[in-house]
Amino acid sequence: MKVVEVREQVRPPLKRCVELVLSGIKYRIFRAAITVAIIALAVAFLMTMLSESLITRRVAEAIDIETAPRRLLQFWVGRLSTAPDPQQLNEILAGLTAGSDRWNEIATWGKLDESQLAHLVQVAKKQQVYMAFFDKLTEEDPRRLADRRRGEDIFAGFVDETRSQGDSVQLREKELAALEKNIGLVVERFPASFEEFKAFLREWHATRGHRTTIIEAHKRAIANLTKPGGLLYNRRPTEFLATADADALKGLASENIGFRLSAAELETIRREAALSVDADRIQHALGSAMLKAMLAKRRGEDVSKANAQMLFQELQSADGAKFFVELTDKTKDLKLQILTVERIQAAAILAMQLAARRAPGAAAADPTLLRDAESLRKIVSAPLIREEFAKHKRLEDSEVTPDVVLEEISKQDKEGNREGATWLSQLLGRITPMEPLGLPVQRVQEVAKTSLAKSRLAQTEASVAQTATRAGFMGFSSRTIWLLVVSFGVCVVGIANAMLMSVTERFREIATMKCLGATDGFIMLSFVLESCMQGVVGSAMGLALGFVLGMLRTWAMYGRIAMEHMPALGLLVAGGVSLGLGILISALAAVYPAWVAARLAPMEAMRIE
Amino acid sequence: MGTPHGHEACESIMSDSVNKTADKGKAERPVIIRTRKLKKAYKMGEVITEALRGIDVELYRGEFICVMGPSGSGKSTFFNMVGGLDSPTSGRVFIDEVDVAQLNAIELAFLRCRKIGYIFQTYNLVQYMTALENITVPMAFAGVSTDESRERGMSLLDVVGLKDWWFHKPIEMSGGQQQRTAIARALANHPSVLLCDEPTGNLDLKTGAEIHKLLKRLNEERNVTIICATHDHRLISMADRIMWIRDGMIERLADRRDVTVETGAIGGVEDE
Repeated sequence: MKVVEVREQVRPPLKRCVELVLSGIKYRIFRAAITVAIIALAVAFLMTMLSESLITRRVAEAIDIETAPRRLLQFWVGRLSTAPDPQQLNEILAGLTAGSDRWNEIATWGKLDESQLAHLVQVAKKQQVYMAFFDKLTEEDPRRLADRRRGEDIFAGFVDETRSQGDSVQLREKELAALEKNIGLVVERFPASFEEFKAFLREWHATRGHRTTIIEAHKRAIANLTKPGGLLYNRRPTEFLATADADALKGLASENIGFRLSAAELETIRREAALSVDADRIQHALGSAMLKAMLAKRRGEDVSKANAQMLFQELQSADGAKFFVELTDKTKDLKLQILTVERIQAAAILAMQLAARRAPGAAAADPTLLRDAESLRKIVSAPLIREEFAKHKRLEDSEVTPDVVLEEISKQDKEGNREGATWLSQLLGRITPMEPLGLPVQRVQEVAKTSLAKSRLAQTEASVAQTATRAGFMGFSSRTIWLLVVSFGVCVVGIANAMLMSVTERFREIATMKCLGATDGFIMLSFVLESCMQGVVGSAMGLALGFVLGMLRTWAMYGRIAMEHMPALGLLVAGGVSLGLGILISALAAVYPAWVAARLAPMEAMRIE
Repeated sequence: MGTPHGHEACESIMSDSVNKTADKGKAERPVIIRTRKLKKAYKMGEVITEALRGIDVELYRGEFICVMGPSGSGKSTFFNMVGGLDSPTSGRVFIDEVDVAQLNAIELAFLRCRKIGYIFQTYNLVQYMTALENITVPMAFAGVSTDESRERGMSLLDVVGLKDWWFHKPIEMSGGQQQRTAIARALANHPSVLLCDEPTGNLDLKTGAEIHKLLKRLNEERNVTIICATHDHRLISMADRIMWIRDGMIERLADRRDVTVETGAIGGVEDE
């Protein structure tokens, strides 16, 4: 007969249980440390992947924002240059929002009212969907579905042109029947029912006229802009936009053109365009061999390495910018009308005489010679010429003064060779004078800095584009997900193994506990709890490690921008998830060993061996 | 002292007609453990081994009984049966009139916690706990509050003479001290029975003697039944009754008075 009192058997309160387990862990700290390390590694891996993914996304967003002005400029330059082709127009239509500037432009161009345009947009959206379907087909037999046609031709192929008129559209039933039959062969699901597709084809054909009208209107608008007297006559769109003002806006929006640009957008575009134009002009200077040589000398690099990047780097500093401005401003002085060598020599003689204030003689009566003499003096004063002369004569820079050069040029030896003058003539032939920029030093610096920043941004953009657009959960490739699963699986097995070893070693202790009144449930709980505690510690460590690693990796991949944009909330959530997963797998791993421990018979405690 | 805690009224049923008075004139003595046709068989692969082949015995409350037998005799199996550590294949075991075979796992745990104290040859103390903590573990399982546990634990340590050693871990204590701690632990919840499996097997003669004295003292002062499996003749000489088990059956069950305990002498040297 059972004794009623048995109802009272208790499990010790959780607190006691926790205390017991904790002292047990302290005793077996090394074994516990191994388990903790296993969990930490697995969680660190997960957290690294998560933080990388999150940070990359945030960086991508930031880059989007920073490159928005450039993209806006490119957009406008594009549309002021060419009208879209039918495929591009379709994309534009599909993305139209009612009431926006684009909406109004297209409504005007296509001479459409609200409802017509709305309908057109609907058709465009459907077209996108069907196009996506046909695009996903590979080159193999499914292409047969559209008979290897591409783009809009896919749809055109299903329409019988000759028998269609206006709103009444005749479809090629045979081709459509073949399509319907073959649809089932393709893995990709056809996005709609076949009846819907037919209805779409009719709509599509009926609205073709509108689309053509829009494209034509756009083309006309551009033509009106680029004809003589137009805003873009003889000007590249970028140059136009760099100096566009309110009047330009009005001109763009005028009736036979129809571009709508808001003043706020214009502000952004203008700034961007001006930078682009100035950067181009600065870069253009690299066409001069002289500049390249001087740039390379200043940077201490080989002249073959002189490029736009180096130029902009040099121009960032006030010093470098000043040098550049002076150089470009001054080369105009180096322009010399085409003179013969004799003329150069004669001019040199005159220049020396003038300098010595000697009576020039008959030569001075020639005003052109006088002018040439003055030009020549300016030329020989230029640092570049003096440098070249020093090299030529193997003298020190300091030994070369303008007079020294002039003297050399004025010489003529007994055979009639004018070595000095010949040298100068050849030198000047090599130098391409640069157009003066007309830019103040500060502007040059600004342009240089911005250009460098843009190219850095472009590099980051390229590396981000690879990772951020990857499909799949959190941007993880299926390979990454597989690796994660495997790592957690290994973790579980490792922990279970360590725990089983522990149970085997502790058989006497467990059995004794049972003799003292521990229930099977208590034993199981204490083992699972032990594992969970190790899981908490391990996960916390792994979390921190993973976060740091993720940050370091993104910093290495993207540079400083990764540090500046931290998705705090997302990372917190990721941390929570990693922690939770870590604890979960440690608990799971402990279940089997705990069960083995719970099943141990108390009489094992009696065993002597 | 020997009364279990939280005891509510229970009904006892004498399922068999065995008469208590069948034993040697001790008809009034209450029975603490009773077995009827106790059988236990183990299946090891294909082979079935009968460890116990029908044991009928009654053990009285407050008795000091020693169980002897060669290895393989079923002595350990009998121990496990009466200690609530294992269930019989057939037959019954009543501990305090409770049929052990009827109890589920949780009820068995209760039994082990409150009714029976265990003392092992290898002490089986928890290595990472102090002496006091070791003693209070069964109290935790019995739901005793922390304060009361400490109080009771300290007084138990005093009983076994280890009051100043309460904060030491087993590794810091000698074998004798560890066994005394184990005894104190066994007494934690005022059990009716103390089950000792070779308690002095790992101890030297002098320390062993101390343990023997302690056990006898506890038996007399607290009226707690002590069941010992042992070969130590000094312990045997302290017992009230002695039981021999051979081949799974009780070979002999005798009062101490009816038995002479001698040790063999080697070359004329006799031990104490």
